[in-house]
Amino acid sequence: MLRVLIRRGLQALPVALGITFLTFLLAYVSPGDPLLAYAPIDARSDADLARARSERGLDDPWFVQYGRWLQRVLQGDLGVSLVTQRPVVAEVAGAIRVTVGLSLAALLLSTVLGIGLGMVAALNRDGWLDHAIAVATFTTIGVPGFFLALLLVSVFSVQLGWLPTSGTRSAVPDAGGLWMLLDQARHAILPLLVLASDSAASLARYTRDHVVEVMEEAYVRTASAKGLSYQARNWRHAFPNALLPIVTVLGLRVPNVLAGSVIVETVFNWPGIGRLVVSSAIDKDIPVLLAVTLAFAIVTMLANLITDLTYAAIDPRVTHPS
Amino acid sequence: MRLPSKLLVGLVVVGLLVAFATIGDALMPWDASVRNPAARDTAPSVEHWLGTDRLGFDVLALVLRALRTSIAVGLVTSALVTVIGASVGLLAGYVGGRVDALIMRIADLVLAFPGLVLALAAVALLGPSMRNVVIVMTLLLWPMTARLIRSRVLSVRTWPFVDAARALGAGSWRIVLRHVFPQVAGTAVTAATLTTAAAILIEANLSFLGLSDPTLPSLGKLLASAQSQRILATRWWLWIPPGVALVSLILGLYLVGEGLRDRLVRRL
Repeated sequence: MLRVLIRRGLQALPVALGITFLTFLLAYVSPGDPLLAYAPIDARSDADLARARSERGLDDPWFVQYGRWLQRVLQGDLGVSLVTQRPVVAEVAGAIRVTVGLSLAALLLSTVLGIGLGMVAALNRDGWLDHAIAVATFTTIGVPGFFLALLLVSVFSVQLGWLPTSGTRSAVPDAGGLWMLLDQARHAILPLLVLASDSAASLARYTRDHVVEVMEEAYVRTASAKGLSYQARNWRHAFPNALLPIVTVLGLRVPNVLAGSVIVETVFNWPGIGRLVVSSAIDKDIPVLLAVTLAFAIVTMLANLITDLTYAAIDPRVTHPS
Repeated sequence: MRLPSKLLVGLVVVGLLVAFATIGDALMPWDASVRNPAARDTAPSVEHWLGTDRLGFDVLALVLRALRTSIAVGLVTSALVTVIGASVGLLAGYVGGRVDALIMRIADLVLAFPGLVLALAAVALLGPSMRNVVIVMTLLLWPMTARLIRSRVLSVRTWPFVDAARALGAGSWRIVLRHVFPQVAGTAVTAATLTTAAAILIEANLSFLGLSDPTLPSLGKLLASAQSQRILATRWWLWIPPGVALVSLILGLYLVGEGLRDRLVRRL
C-alpha cells in the first residue's frame, strides 16, 4: 500500500509542475502588459514603468521568472492580486475549500445516483425502466451544465420560488444554527444537481453495461445454480465484482466535475476556485490565475491519488501482485 | 415495428440543423445584421417567429448565425484533432516501446486535468480570437482520438495480414498506410464525430463564460445574456431556442457517433 502511495505520488508531481509551467509560459507570451493595465494613470511615464518592471523582475528571462515564482510558492508566497491587492494565498485558500466541498458532495451524489440507476437498469434489462433510464442518461450527457442550470433556476427559483437563485447563504445576520444549516442546504441543492448530473448519467450508463456483463459470468451462474437466493447472488457475487472498475470510472470523472465547478460556481455565484479562474482570466490577474491553476492541479492530483489507493484497497491483485 | 437506428435519427437531427444554418437565411424574413427599430424586445409574432431582443434583432436569425459559428468551430477543430490524433495514435500503436510510453504519458497528462480550466487560462492569456480557441481545443482534444486509434492499432498490428505484408517485403510506411490505417478508419470517423460534439460544447462553455471571439455570434453568448430573473421569468424565446439548438446539435452528433461506432467498429 505504501509502495503504491509513494509511486503514485512521485508520478503526480510532474503533472502539477507541467500545468503551472504551461500557464506561466502562456502568461509570458500573452500580448499586453499587465503592469500597464493596472498601473495608476499618472504613473504611466516610460521611466516609471521601466523602474516598476525591473523592480518586479519582469525584465528577466521567463525561465528565471518561473524559477523565482516556484521558489516563492514552495515558501507559501503566491504574490499579490493585481486587482484586489490582497495576498493571493488568502484569495485562493478559502476558495479551494468551497470548490472541494462542492465537488466532493457532487461526486458522492453522482455515485449514489449513478450506481443506483445503473443497477436498477441492469436488473430490469431490456424492460421499459431500462429504456427510460437509457434515454434520460443519454439526454443528460448532451445537456451543457450552464443550460441545465438556467432551466433549473427558471423552474425552481424563478417560476416556483422554492429555491434561491444564487449564492451560498441568505444575508440574515443572526439566525439559529439549525436555520443556517437548512439555509445553506437550500442554496446547495441546484448547484449540486447541475454538477452531479453529467457524472451521474455517465456512471449509470457504465454501471448498467458492466453489471449486465458480470451477470453473465460463469461464477454468477454457478451461484444461481447452487441455489443461492436472487439477493445473495446479486449482493455477494455480482455487485462486488462489478464495483471494481466503477471506482476507476469515478476517478476519471474528477476532471469533469472540477471543470463543471467552473460553470456552476459562475452561474450560482459561489466563491470557489472555479469562479476565481474565470474572473482572474478575464481580468488577466496573472498571480491569481497561476495560483488557481496550481490549485486545480493539486486537487486533481490528490483525487487521482485517492482513486488509486481506493482501488488498491479493494482489489487485492494490486497490493499482492502474483 | 423496428425503431429507427441511432445513426438515422442522429443524421436527420444534425442534417436539419446544418441545413437551417446554411440556407435558413433565404427562407427567413429577417437577417441577423439588420435591426428592426419598430420591434424592440417583442414576443414571438408572425413577423418575428421567435421575437426580438432589446436592440430589435430577430432572435431566430441570431440563433442561426450562432449555430453557424458552432458548426464551423466544431468541424475545423475536429478536422485538426482527427489528423493529429490519428497520426499520433498510429505512431504510438505501431512503433510501440518508448515512443508509445512517452506519447501516452503526455495524453494521460492532458486528460487528467480539467480541460476547461486550461482553456480559460490559455484563451484569456493568448487573446480570445476564434483561431486561439480552436488551437487550444485541439491541444485539449487530441489525446482522446490518439488513444482510441492506438488501442485499435495494437490489435490490428497482430493480425496475420500485417505479418503477410511484412513477409512480402512491404516497408513500415506502406504497412501503416495501406494495411493498418484502413482497419482503423472507422474508429477515426467515430472519434471525429464525437470530437465535433466535444469542441462545440467547449466553445459554448467558453463563450458562455465570456471568453471567446467577441466579434462572432455564439450560442453560449446568447445564453449568457439570459442570466437575469426578468428574462428567465418572462422571455423564454431569448434563451430556450439557443439552448435547444445546442442540445439537439450535441445529442445528434452523439447519436451519429454511437451509430457509426456500432456499424464501423464493432463489426471488425
